[in-house]
Amino acid sequence: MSAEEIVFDQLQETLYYEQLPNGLDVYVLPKQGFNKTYATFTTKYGSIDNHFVSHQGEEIKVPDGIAHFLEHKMFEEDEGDVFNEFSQYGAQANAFTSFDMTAYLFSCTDHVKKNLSTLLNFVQNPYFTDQNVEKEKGIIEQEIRMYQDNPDWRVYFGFIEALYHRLPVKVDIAGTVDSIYRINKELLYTCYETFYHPSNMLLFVVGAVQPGEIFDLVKENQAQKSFQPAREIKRLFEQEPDSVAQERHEIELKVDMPKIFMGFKETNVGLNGKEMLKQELSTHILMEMILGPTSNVYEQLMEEGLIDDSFAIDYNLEQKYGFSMIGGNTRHPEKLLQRVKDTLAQVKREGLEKAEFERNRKKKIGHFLKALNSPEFIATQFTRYKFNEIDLFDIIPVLESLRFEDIEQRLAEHVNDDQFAVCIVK
Amino acid sequence: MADQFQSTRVNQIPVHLISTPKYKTNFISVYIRHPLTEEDHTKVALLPSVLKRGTEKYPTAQHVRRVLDDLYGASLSTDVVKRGEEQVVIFRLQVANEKFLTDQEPLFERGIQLLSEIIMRPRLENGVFHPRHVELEKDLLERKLSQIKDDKIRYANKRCTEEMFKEEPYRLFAYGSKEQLADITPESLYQFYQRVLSTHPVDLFVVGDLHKEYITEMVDKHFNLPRTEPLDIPRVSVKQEVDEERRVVEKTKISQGKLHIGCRTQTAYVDEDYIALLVFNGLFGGFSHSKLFRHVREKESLAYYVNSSIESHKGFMMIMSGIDFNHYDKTVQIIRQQLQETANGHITDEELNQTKAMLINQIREANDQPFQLMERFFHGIVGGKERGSETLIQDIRQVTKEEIQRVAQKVQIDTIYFLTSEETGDAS
Repeated sequence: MSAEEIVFDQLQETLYYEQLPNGLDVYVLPKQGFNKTYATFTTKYGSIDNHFVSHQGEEIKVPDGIAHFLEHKMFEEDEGDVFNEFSQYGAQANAFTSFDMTAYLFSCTDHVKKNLSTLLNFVQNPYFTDQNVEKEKGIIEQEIRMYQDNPDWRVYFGFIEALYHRLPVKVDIAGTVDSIYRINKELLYTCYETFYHPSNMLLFVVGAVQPGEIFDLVKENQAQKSFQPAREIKRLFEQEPDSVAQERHEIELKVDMPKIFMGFKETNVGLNGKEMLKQELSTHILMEMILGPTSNVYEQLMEEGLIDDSFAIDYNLEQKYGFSMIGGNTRHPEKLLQRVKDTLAQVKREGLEKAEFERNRKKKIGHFLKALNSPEFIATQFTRYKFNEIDLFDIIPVLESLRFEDIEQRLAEHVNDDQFAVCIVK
Repeated sequence: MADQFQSTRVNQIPVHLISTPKYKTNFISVYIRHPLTEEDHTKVALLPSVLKRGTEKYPTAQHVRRVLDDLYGASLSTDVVKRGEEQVVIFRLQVANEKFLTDQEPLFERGIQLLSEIIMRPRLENGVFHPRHVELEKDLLERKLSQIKDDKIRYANKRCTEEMFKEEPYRLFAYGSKEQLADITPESLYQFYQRVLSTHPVDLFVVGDLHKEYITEMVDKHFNLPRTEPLDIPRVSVKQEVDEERRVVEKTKISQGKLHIGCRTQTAYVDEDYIALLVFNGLFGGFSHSKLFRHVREKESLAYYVNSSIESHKGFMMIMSGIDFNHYDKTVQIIRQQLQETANGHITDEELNQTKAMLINQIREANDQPFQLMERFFHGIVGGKERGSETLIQDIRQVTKEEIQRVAQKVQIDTIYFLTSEETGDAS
């Protein structure tokens, strides 16, 4: 076997990697003692990739929600439904589309090889007809309406909409009821041919497996198929200004408990590799230090009845965009908004506490270890990081190497009134 | 077997443990059982959050959260669930195994010690729970209960259950009721908790890379509850027949109709045909190859989600779907028809084999998740019948079409609940 062996001593894990001649990256992480095997087959293609140069060299803009629509349609083959095939071998199959990627996956405790072949084969065999595309529209319309009734989803998207002027991250991943009715099989094939080339994809298998057997199977499977030569994918994006699109976005849903999300648009984007990971982790720690569950202000806000345990903090960073996010359910969104703004201003003035930094760093290390019990986490996060040229297992060394000054620097760069926006659902 | 609990007793508490090198963290849970009653259910719901708010040693929630962070981001969560007509409080603690850290603190012992302080040494004032803590948690619970209406699927689920079990304790919501919150005082809650600690059944679970002797030693050292005569919780009654099918329509501001159908399965966890019921549910609405998914979603494009699930102890099955307001009649008709088809024995070998394979897979996958393993074992405690994973798998394999047909014939629709838009006319 010619796969590269990557050993992580402290974590007691060994990862196997090989790039196949068609460009597909294959990773296998055996987990001793586990019953379950989990595999993801992911393309670096998500909802934001709606404007690109197609595999035939034409510039094209496609309807919103098409990556997600394509994900739904991949499960249908000439012979029928792929779920059916997975369930015969006891595998639970699924897929998801995010802003940046589309992942197909299964988990099983038996017949791993059979299920893995099914995964490779159905994702590499598009079957779209006018009729099956039409049929899907009703189903996806109901999916969109389901999310419209979900206030948590509405406040999340409302917030991103407030941040962005033009970047398609502001558009719902599933599109709109109008946009999905403009999708047809020709457009689906164009997207498929452009983005589902093996060189734009990554296969990750984790669990009760022998790496050698997995590589043999995948290599043989791929060798039997022919692909166009790999070509560079050109994604087109309009210039996105640094400023936020709307400082304030309100949505009327008549909820009993209002919801608020606020935060800062990241202006330092376009990163990859360790630099990106460092920014992600240090900004995360920064926001936790200011407003996380062990901060003084969190306890005060709880005492004042302004927040409950839905109050959370997050930071997302991708190549094209990034933002921090603070919020949750509250009876008094205006008061909470003011208290958070005041807190941020105070920290800007008075600086951060070093003891908070150590505690939050420790917490992040522990959370990462906990996450390593989860094959789902390992496979999907490994893939997401790899698409950004980051190694998931670098998280601990990077966390250990962070200095207090790195966090202070992020405070200066990221916490900036001009990049602040808020969304309130009431 | 690596994934089977061994049970023992320490200080009169049943302790169930698995010693395994599989995980990078160690897992501890404490389950406390209560009969589900109108009188006490809101107190039970309030207890774990009041306890988590502070101990003698860590007097505020912030202190508790800080000590968790210092234990390398240990996580402590609490939950209140219904299991049949019992209300169960669950404390779950997960803490890193120090062998993966440069630091070599004994994290397991510090974790179990913290958990014991939370349960046995709560912060008191004048001999009762701290009034401010009780007040805060009452307010938080009140808000939590108000919010349920905002999550339409959850709300519909709750409403359907309330309507269907009007005359039975099962109607009560695990998180309590707003009306009863007002009357709870630090005194009444503390008195109630003293009764809980001395008489309500407690089970403790540990899964981790630790020796059995070390685990029992730690439990012995840190868990010594003031036990007296244990309370005997009666087994839930499973109602046999539906007198009359009911329909409830409610209107709200909503963009998709939520259809929830409550059924009586007349089969409980302890019954011989419980396994056949599991297979029936999988075949009917548990998976993406199931009858409901194929007919409602794939053939008719009526819904994005449509499924059924069973509650193991009360003989209850819920069918759920999100549909267009105008598709109520059509969807209900297809669901009825599929239920009838199953009761008539229209089951193919393919769907039978798929369902069994999927169920067996679920059981095996859960063997990799300690908190799920604990849940499954606990079902056996509540249900009065231990079903180990290998026995369960063997039993599933042996279920026949005739047995499925027989359990399907016992399933009756009790209540059809539809949450629809204010703007549409009559739902039907």
